[in-house]
Amino acid sequence: MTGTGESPRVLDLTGPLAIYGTRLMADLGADVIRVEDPAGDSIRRSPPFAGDVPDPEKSLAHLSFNTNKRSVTLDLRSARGQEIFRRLVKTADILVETFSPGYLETLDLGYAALREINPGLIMASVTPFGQTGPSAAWEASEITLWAMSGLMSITGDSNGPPVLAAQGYLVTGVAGLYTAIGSYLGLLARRLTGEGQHVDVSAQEALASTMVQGLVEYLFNQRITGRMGAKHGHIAVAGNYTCKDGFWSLSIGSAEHWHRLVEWIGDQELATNPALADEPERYRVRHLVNEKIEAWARQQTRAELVAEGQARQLPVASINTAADLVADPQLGARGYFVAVDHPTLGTFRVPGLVTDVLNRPRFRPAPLLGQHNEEVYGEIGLSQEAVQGLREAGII
Amino acid sequence: MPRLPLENVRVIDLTQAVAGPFATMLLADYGAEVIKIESRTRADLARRWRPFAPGKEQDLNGSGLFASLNRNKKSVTINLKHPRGVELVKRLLGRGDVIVENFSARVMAGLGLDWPAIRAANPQIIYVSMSGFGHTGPHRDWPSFNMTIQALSGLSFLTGFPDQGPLVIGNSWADFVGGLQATVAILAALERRARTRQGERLDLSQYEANVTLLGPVLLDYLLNGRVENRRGNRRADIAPHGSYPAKDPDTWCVISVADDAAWARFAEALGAPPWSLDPRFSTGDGRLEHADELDRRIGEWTARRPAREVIEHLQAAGIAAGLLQTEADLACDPQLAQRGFLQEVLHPVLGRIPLPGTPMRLSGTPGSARAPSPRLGAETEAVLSEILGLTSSELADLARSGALT
Repeated sequence: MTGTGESPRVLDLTGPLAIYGTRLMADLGADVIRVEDPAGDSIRRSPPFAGDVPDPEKSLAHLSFNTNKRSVTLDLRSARGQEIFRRLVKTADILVETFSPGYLETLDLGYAALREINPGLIMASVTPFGQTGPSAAWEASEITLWAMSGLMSITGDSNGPPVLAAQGYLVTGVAGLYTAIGSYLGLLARRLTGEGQHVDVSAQEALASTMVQGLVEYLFNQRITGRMGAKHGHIAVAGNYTCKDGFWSLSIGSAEHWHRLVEWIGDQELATNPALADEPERYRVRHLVNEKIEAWARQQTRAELVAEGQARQLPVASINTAADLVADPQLGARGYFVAVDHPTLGTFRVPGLVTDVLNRPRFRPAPLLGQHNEEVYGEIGLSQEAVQGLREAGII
Repeated sequence: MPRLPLENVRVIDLTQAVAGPFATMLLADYGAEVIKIESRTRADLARRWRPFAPGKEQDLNGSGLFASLNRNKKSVTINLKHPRGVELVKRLLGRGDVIVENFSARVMAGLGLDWPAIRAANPQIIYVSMSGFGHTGPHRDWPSFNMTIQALSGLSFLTGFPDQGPLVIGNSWADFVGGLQATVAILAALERRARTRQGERLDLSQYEANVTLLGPVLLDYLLNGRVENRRGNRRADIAPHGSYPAKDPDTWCVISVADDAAWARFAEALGAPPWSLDPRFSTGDGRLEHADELDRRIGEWTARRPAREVIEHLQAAGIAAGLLQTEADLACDPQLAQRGFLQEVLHPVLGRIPLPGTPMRLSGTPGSARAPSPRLGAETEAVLSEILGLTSSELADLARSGALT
């Protein structure tokens, strides 16, 4: 369907590194077809599960990342499966895959072969280290990528071990975001050139692209950031601070913020040093500044600090849990959570789009395994009998 | 000269700090003409943010962060508090494809640049606001920064050890995620517009942009009523999984062993020490239950060896193992080097500086850091004369009126 007025069609052969990227494209209107092994994709086996019951339809990662997609099953290792896959590719705008570099070539389904049958195809290959280079074949997981990208060197206490942030979901998130960006760039380029292309995304580089402050600092001054616990490594006042009953978050991003904070704290030494209104000078003496803030805040509760800070128009915050987020009036008012009707789990809410509050579309739940076999294979011209035959042969 | 995917796209960029400029940087890397509108009285905040080249702390063109985020762009100074300045922006909108801003929610309306005004200037334009909380809802006016969002989005609560306080990622992480989400939204809107010829208004919330990466954690509460806590480096489903000290001070290996087959290879790679044959470790459930002892044993093994030696040995056995890399390691990482991740740009103040390039290699239309970040206002006259056709006397008149400061 290359170059038509329709929404793009995406074939989705992805694991954790790109599965959020194809979810984003599905949310934004693309027809995303998940092509799963007849036994079900491995994401369906990842815990936790709804009701804590291990079941391929109840993995929360599956329910979250496959919202709005369709599912077909297909055995890509069989010759008949490969033939059907090529027919699917003919109808697709984008193919996203996360196999080890070179694997699809062994099935004769690499980019060079697929381009022959669909010159307009944009194929995005998302791997831990990219398609080329000495580490291209290395094994990886979320935590090893967090470490190899530099991010783990700035996550953790200086006197404790380096830490993976947020259980590794951020790796899935950022690699997925670049997956979507690369895919859309390919679509837009095709409008100019008439041709598809191969998009090679490295998850290590995707994560390392956020290390710009530390990298440039090192290149200028040969200094590394290190683990700063709950503080920003490159901004004087930014991060979680201790208070009487736990923690709160405070950031000072401008001279106005600084003046408001100093007035609030009422500390003579901070107030009488006008140079501290300028970020570079404040950063130079940040340890002193932060000790004063911590000592002052330890006298007050989190609720007091957050309420008063907001009244003073400062970027303050409490440290939210999932329960806080679900109850949050701001997310509620914007309709951020969207209800879906799942055939077996009933109605539940999923995270929705991060834009476009006026036009939140209807969402469909993550598909059952092979739910759209008849529909999708019918669209590429297979009869009901043919589909039944494939099912009996174990191809789908 | 290869073609670039966004070579026909002009972006009117009112963003500053990190999230917005990161989004427009990605657009500029792939060929968009990004016209960055600043003012001399309120230059982009990031011009004052670290890191600075030695001796350049007071130079508005001396920030390395700004240099990276604003490469390939043009800087135009326009005073948005001046009626003729706003008029100029509207005329640029008429010649633009996308307008992006990350002001707090009330600012654009106050400037006379709300959506109806923008749409009147150009019905086909794509308008993306990317404020902290979006332009609607009870918290739309709350100020926000990266760390505010790290705290509010659930990220911080989930980071650290269960018996210690919540930690953060020590960079501007949430801004980068906000910028990436905005980039996806803009590209998808450009793709839709190519089909529908319709302009669009997208109201992005940086808070939602970050919350949404934690989908399964949110579903765990929505479907199971469970509030997940931080758990250090542990996972609920596999062990061992963590960071382990290596021989040299503050060097670390990171190891994750996915299943029984990987465990068998791992134990063999360690030389099959007697403890590794303990039946308590032979099943996934057993390894999870005895993760403390497992981590201690592995840590004793790694602590006697250089980190790189450990991970190369484990990789040879097919184990997901990695090295804790600092910025110093990234600068000489052979993988990043061979792929050309760092791209050198000649900057008028900073000299030759290597900047992080693009994590995406597009075989037909590759993006890159081609040109340095602009000096404040460097292209004011060029842009206004070339795009709006202003004459030199009109420009002089505008300058005298104070609209270009």
